[in-house]
Amino acid sequence: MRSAEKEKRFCGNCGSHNPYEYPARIFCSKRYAQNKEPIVDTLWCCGNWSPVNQGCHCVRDALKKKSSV
Amino acid sequence: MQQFRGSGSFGAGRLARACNIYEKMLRDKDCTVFLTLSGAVVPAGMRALVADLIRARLVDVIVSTGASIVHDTIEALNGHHYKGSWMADDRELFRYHIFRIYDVLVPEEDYVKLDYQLAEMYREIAAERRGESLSSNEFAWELGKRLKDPNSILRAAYEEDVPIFIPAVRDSEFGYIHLLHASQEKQKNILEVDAFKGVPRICEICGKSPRNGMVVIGGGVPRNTVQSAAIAANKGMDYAVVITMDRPETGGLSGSTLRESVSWGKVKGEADKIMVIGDALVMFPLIVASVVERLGNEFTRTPYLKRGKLTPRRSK
Repeated sequence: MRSAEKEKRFCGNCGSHNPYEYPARIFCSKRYAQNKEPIVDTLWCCGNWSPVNQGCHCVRDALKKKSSV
Repeated sequence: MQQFRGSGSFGAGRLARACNIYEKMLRDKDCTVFLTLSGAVVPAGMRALVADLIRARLVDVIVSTGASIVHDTIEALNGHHYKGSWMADDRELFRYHIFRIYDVLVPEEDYVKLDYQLAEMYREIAAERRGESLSSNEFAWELGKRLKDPNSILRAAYEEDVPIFIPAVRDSEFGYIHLLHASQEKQKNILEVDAFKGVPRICEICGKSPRNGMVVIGGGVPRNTVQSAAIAANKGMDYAVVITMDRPETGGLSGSTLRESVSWGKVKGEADKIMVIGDALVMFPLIVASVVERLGNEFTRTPYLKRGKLTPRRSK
């Protein structure tokens, strides 16, 4: 996978994301099931990225928040 | 309310009669009072009212939908229900992860925080109970033990040893939290809640109590749970107040008249009973305010359940 493409794959674009502290952090139920820390950054890279799941504004708002910091 | 009673007609008359019947239940020393909760009781702001009734011993047993207890837990864990508008753009709300309950809004993240914390509580309860199946009232007691918020229905019920039965416990966020809890790899103990286990207990309460009364907010599964316990105990309710906006023509329980309940033996023919047609979120606080004022500050009540007539069934 090209690095530019990988950078676009964020948690928040997968089917198992839920906002934890909108828009900055999410709760990942897959990571919870694997006994890993389930709360990750919304812009954290995720292998389960899928554009079809993305009807929400998480990533857009997280990017906005990041650029304003 | 006295003027309503003076009128005696239409909705005003029914509301005044509901006050009389609830007052009578409370003054009857041998009556156990069941309060059933369905609909958006907590988002509508009645959470502290119910907790206060528990602490004042003006209800003895709660039977609730899972959703009402979930809403209570969300607030107990610092989540909030916000005043919004029923005209909000629901597609935009979806994109911002905000849920709507008519004109009240709740952020999805409050549910997610609930999921995470309760999944951890499930793990702790399962480890403590070591594979034992819990009834829904034992499950509610375990949750109440772990919450600190004094305005919580669960916490008040835990402290006052008032049983909360949640007959349809899986039909709420509690069910999906169980999915999350059970999904964890290498989970040694999975929490088990047995929907049937609470049945003998609620029937025992109805059976041993000389008289039983119910105050129904809405209807649905909680109303039928109490009424069915009354049948199983070969008794029928002695007092009944039902507040609903549903209609009887569909055959659904929430709209069924109390006369219909008499035909089943769920409510005695001679029972003091009234159906108030109106929004319970308006009617119930009015009834409580009126009855509490009539009872006065000196009124105290020791529920039949507490007078040693029934074995206390606190969990370990």
